[in-house]
Order: sequence, then structure tokens, then C-alpha cells
Amino acid sequence: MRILDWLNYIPSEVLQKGLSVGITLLGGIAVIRLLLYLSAKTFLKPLSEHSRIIIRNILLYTGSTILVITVLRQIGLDVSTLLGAAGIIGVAVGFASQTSVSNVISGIFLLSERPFEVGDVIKVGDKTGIVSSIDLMSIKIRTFDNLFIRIPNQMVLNTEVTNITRFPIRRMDISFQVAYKEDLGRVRNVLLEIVEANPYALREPEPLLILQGFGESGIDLLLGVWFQKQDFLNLKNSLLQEIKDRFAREQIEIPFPHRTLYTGSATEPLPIRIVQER
Amino acid sequence: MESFSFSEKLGIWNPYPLEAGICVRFSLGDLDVWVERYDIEWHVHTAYRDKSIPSGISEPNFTIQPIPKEQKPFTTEWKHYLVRNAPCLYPTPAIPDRPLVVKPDRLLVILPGETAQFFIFFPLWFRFMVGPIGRKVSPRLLFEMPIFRMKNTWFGDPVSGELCYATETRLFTDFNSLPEHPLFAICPLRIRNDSPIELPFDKICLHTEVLSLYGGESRIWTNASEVIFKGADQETVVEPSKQAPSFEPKVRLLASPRQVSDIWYFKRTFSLLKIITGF
Repeated sequence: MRILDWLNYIPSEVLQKGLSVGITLLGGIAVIRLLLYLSAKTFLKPLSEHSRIIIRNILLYTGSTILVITVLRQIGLDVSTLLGAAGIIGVAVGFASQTSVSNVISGIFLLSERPFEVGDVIKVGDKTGIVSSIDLMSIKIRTFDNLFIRIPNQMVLNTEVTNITRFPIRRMDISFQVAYKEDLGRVRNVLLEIVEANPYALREPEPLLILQGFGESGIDLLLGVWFQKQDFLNLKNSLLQEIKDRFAREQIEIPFPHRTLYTGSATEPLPIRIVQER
Repeated sequence: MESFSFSEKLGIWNPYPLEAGICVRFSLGDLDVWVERYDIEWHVHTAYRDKSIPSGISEPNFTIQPIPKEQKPFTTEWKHYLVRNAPCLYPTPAIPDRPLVVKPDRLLVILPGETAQFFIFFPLWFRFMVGPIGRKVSPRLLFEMPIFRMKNTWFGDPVSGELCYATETRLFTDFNSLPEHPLFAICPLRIRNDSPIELPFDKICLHTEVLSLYGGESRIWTNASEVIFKGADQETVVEPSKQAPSFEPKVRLLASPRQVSDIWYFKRTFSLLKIITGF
């Protein structure tokens, strides 16, 4: 009863307009949501996650803009004047929010260039993770230790981005040394046998073995093994262990830094006698 | 369902009714399958005997052996399947689930205008199916797995190629020299070189998923395929025959293809394209 009394103090014209605006707002929101729901169930369904996000955002922002303009006109505000004012305000705001605008523009470039998609594993700077969303202002990634990282689009555009899972297969490069005394032909055969027996290594493209040079303590080797992108951890763990175990069995030495002390160029190394501690 | 049994050479693929409480070990190639049936449960444990990946065609060995309970593998890796009214095991051969890159034991060059007939051997998969005795209803598939461990390989370029299994085989050109093996299938393959250049047959990507399996007297066959090579820069036409293989008088359909395809055009059937594209 008291509420109705309170309503009597509001002019009927304002009440009518308020009601009309309320209905437009509610109806508009309902229509936008229905549109998003129907699009998700129909033509967006076969598209990639990346395309779905782009089209969904376009629908949402366009619908919201139309709704806001409609409501403003219902209130009686002249939209053209408002847009003119918005232009002036926009310049002022633009100066104040250069970073945000830059992020939005970078976001548009990212969406069109598509260097990665939702679900890809990427490396931006020193951050590596799975892309969980690509938005107008930023991208969000989930790291492998389950951290949520938001990276502004401007930074993504200005930084080197590595898409780790873009292609179906990858090559894992393992660098190590063998002692100078080892027979490199035998080392090569042993390594190829290890790769052949590993279930995660692909037979083709063939593994790569490069003699990289003569290091301080041994001969530098690089072994490149191809694998399916999802087998990264399995291959790395198994291959390193197999190389170590097999080298131990075959008595192939993986050297560690050696230092030989001489008293002069023509002398024998300094004799060292190890004395057991009491 | 038709009830039939294979000859002794293919005896591993015959139905095997199993009494409740009895444990049996099936040994096929590298694979050991321990099976024990209870009233409404099948207990299964599988393991490969050899950890290395075999090359070439192995000995055609298989055994089915009841074992005492104390010799059952003591492990937590046993799987229990709940299946009602299924006292009979139907071991069934199956085609691998991915294409095969077959590397013959020797390089063969097919001259322009020539046609060659080959028989390609490839290892089968094992389908563990159970059902009522006498195939009154279709048996149910519990699982499937390779009989021999197979090495993964990649065919084509690293961006758009495809994941396959690698297999090496002796290249048989004469039907009479074909070995009898219950764990390998034979794919009769006719290659026609319609191009003006030589076709080096050093390896071939065989899309076995579109082939059916047939059981003969002592061998397992797929339907025949014809590959027409028109040039390195043109699509190679591969056409699987719709008929059962005609190399044995009586063959029975054992398994339908994993994918249905009448004819398919596949650019990367031969490795020749790899040479030209630089991969």
C-alpha cells in the first residue's frame, strides 16, 4: 500500500517511460541471449573454438550497442548529439587510455592473424601454457602448474610467440657429450638402436645425429628424435633414462669437466696421493 | 550368425567356450592374454612378452593353454568386464587402426606402362569378443589390441602428413611362395604405372582401414587393391576391390572395413612425392 502511495508522487509520464525502458532492456537482453544461444546451437557448432569466440563477441557487442542506443532514444536523449559529444570525450579518453585502445587494436590483429587458437600450447616470453581464451583486451593462458596468466594483447603482438602444438609432430633435440676415447661409429649405432626401441619415437622422419664439435671435456653430440606432439614428456623421460642406462651397460663414457694440473709444459701431472681421514 | 570353424592352421580364431573358474592363457605372436571367466564377469590380463619391436614376419606360433590358478600373473592390471550370458570367447582378427607404411625388403622399380602384382604381409590385431555359444547373437567386443608391437611412423611432410604404423615385409610376387600365417594378413596389391617416369617402389602407404578381412583355408586375406600411379605431381588412384580375394577357392568374411570407401584418391601413397617435395 505504501509503495503504491509512493508511486503517486512520480509523474505518470516518467513512470510510463521508465516502464517502457525497463521492458526494452529486459526484452533486449533476452533477445541477445536467445541469439547467442541459438547461434551456439546452430551455425557456430561446427566452427573452431577460436572462430566461435570471435563471432560470439561480435554478436554480443553489436547487440549491446543497438540496445543501448534504443534505450537512450527512449529516454529522449539525442543520440547524434551524444555521438558528437562522445567523439570529443573519446579523444580525451583515448589519450587517457592509450594502452587499452592499443590492446583492443592488437586483439583485432591477433584475431585476424590467428597465430594460435584456443587449446594450443604457446610460449610468450618466459611463460608457457595452454590458451584458454582470446579476447579483445588480452589472452588468458593456463600454465602446466595450473596458474592463470592474463597477457595483454599488445604484449603478445610485440613479443615472440612460439606455438608449440601447431604441427602434429615435433623434433626433440638432446645435446650431450661422449668421451674422446669412444668409437663414434659404435656410439651412433647404440643411439639409433635406443631410438628404434623407444615406443614414443617415430621411425620417420629419421632421427638426426650431428657431431657438433670438440668440447672441453668430450665430443659434443646432438640427437634429434621426432615424436607426436602429445608424447613430449613420455619421450623425454624415457629416452634420457634409456641413453644413460644403455651407455652404462655399453661402457660408453659421458664425461664431466676434467682438469689436469701440470707444473710446466714438459713435466708429468702433479702426483696426488689421497690420504684417508682419521 | 553363421557358425563355422577354421582349419587347424587358423585354429586360434575358432570360438572358445570357457567354463566358469577356469584360467586360460592365449599366446599369439608377442602377445599373452590371460582369461578367466566367472558367472557374469570376464577377467582379462594382457602383456607383450618381448619389449622390442619385431621386424619381418615372425614364426606362426600360437597356443591356448589352461593354467593352474597359482600360475596366474599376480598384478593389479587385470581388467574385469561385466557381461551377461556370454560364456564363449570369439577371438577375431582385425585390421590395424591406422594406415601402414610398408617397406619391402628390396627396392623394386616399375617401368612406365608396366603392371606388377604383389602380396603384402602385415600383422593383425586381436579382437576379444564374447557371446553365447553358437553365435545365436552377435558377440560383443570387449577390447582390441595389436598382436605384435608396431613402431609409429610419419608418412608425408611434417605439417600435413599422417601417423601410420611402420612394417617391413618380404615382397612376394608369387602366390605359391606365400607363407601360411594365422597372425598376418595378405593384401593382394596390383600397381599400375601409367606415368611416363619410373616408379621406385621402396615403400607404400597402405590404407588398411578401408579393407575387409577374409579367412581362407590356411591364410587370412584382405580384398585386393589396385594402385594407379599417374605421375609424381598427380593424384595416385587407389581402388579397393569390392569382391573377396580370388586366390583361394573358399574364403569367409571375418571383419568389415573400419572405414567405408569405394575409391579414394591419395597423393602420398608413394614416397616418390617426398623426393620431389624435398621431405
